[in-house]
Amino acid sequence: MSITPEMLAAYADGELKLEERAEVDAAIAADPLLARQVAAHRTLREALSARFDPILEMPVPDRLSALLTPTAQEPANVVDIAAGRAAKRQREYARVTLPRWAAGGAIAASLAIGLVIGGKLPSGGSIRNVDGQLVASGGLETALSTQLASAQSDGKPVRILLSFKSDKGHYCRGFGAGATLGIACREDGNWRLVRIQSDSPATGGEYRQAGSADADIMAAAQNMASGAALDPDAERGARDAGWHN
Amino acid sequence: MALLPRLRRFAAGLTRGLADGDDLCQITIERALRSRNQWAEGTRLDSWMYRIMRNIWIDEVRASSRRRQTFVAEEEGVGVGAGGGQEQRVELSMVDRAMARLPDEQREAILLVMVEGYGYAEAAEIIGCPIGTLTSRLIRGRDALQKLLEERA
Repeated sequence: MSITPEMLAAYADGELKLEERAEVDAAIAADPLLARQVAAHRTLREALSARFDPILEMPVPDRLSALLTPTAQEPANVVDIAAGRAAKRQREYARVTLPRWAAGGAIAASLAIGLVIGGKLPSGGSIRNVDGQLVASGGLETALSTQLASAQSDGKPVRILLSFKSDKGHYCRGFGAGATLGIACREDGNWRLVRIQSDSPATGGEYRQAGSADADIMAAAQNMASGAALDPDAERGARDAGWHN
Repeated sequence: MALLPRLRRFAAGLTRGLADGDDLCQITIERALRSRNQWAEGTRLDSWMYRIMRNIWIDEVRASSRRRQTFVAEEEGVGVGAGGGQEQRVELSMVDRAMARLPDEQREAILLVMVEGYGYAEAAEIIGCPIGTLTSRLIRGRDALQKLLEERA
């Protein structure tokens, strides 16, 4: 069986199925020319990494990160269609209108996460990327799995604001950690971050009203929830059962 | 893991320069925030953003940079001081020059698969082409790059 250039490329890119890979492995062992081609591919990949990966470590210019701070967006009383729709849905739960930037929260949050979280999430609380999804790890993951909103003790790096069940049936928790607030939902054994926002002071020395970020999270939670927040017994029960839905 | 640095890397590769890349990043983020209603929550945010970036680059930035003197950019390379010794810098600019000589569609395929680490299916989806088209661009681009780098070595 001869190995086509397509097969060899797919082999080098890790795109071959197990049995095909074994075939190419055997062919490479028998043919030094093929082995050299695979090695050349690796060398090229390394050269490209050496060139492009340093960009990941470079500081992001302010003009880019500034796009992602919530206060840079339109005034809160402008409501777009999606926010309007969300608000309509939400009126069944409470009379709260989401500011426009909140609707883009998930996107801005995912982009800004390094900026918002950088240095502000205390005690090793951190965030990982699993298949393009942001999930809690470290201290944040532990806090989400163990702490109860109903039994809050001061001085913990992570505050649990509330626990609820989403309309998709997952357990979700609103939390605060330092100046970062968010909502995480238990999916596939991870706490997936569905919302993250910063409670940091607005630019120009204006401070957001104290507690307004908590209110944002509460409003977003109400919007997602299938019912009321869990009562202390239900919350404890859900925790002791490992947050399985 | 922040997505922003990855977007910058991809943009720098597409536009062959960090400054142009940051301009592209800025337009991309603005458009993404504007059309965020189109993003289906739960799908990969990064692929969606890459697709937006790639389309803007095709539509706008590439058209304008073609009007400029492409040769200057090619000769100067990207010229990002990534640290390291003189030797390393020479090697980096060789990669830049070789990449700059690739046709756009091949460079884009190389960037998505070999730099950004996307699988063939995801990369093809971002570009909006069949997988076979992607792999043939990838293979042609890779052969050309290797030849260019060997010549200069």
